[in-house]
Amino acid sequence: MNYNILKSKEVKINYRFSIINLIILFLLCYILVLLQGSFLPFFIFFNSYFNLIFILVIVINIIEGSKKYFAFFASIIGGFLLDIFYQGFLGIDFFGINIFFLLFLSILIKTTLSYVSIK
Amino acid sequence: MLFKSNFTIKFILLVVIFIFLINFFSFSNKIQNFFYNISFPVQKNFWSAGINFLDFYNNIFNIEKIKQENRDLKQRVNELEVININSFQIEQENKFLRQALNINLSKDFDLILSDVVSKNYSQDSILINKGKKHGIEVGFPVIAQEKVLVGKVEEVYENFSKVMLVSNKRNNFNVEIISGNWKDFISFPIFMIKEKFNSSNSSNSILCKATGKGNFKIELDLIPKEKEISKGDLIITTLLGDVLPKGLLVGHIIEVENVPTDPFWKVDLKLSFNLDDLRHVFVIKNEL
Repeated sequence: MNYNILKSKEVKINYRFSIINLIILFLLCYILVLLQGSFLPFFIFFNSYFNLIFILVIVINIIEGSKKYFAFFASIIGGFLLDIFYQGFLGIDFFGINIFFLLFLSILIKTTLSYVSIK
Repeated sequence: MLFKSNFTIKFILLVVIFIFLINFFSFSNKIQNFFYNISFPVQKNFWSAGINFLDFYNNIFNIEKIKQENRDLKQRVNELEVININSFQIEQENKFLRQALNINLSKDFDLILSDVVSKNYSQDSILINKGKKHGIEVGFPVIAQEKVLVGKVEEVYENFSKVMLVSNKRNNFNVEIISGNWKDFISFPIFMIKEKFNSSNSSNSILCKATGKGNFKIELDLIPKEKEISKGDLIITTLLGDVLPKGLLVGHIIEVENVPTDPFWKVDLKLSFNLDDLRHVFVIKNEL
């Protein structure tokens, strides 16, 4: 009985923790997307500037490794915001293309990381 | 291995459905509009911060270039100031000549236009930039553009001449007082003088002697009390004594004092030219 109560509390705490994480992630992505569109264009190197969401997704994937899935949320939120503010990617003008691309990138990194860790 | 996990497959399926729904029901425009609205103030601030940061960055890395540009601009400003001063001088000269043409000065006299180089307030004299080389001789009358007598040439140098103002203590000459209600025309009397002078010769006109008193003051001597004079009467030169051309405006009476013991009026004059505004003068070579 006591064990069940403890378990339900743990689930609630984890749930709250993940919601807060997602809110923080959303705000972070939002700020990065705005920075990317309004601040970074003033600092162009070789005719291009950094895609901050792209970098964020790569960093989260590398940090959390292959067994956690938080990077997927980052890919969806980041991709969603990129689609809203800078719709289109590599000439493909379709809402959701950035989400697909970032998800694909996350899967690629995780697969690579899991392959490397097995070895 | 990653795709063996149920979570991954479900997750990707959910995402695909979500994107499909957004595209199918054309929600994307509404969502975009909503986000643009709430992001506009933040984006504006980021944009201005970006501009400021870029300016700062450019200032740091282009400081040498900016310094050079600043030097060039300062030099350019100096050049333009010189051009501006020159054109101002030309404009003033042009204005002066136009005024002179308007009153037919050049028809009446053979004139030499010259600039006032310096003014000597203590000696009531000015220096002009025309001299012997330009045909100026001692005794030539000097006038301002409105046929106003300024003085006469006292000394002549090769390229400059010293002009003794009418108010100089060593200066005395014959003048004529034109009586009448001239007060309304004091500010532009030149158009009236000639007519009045020619038409009168007159019972109203009074001949007398003007003597310089220094400090830009002139006094009229030997006006008997039988003659009626009043404040505002004009003083012009006359041919008597043959020193100055006839009809040049000298000034107007500002005060008439009756000294009981003296058989003559004591009269103070105000000169018709303002020395501070005097930039150019004409030297009269001879009357045409």
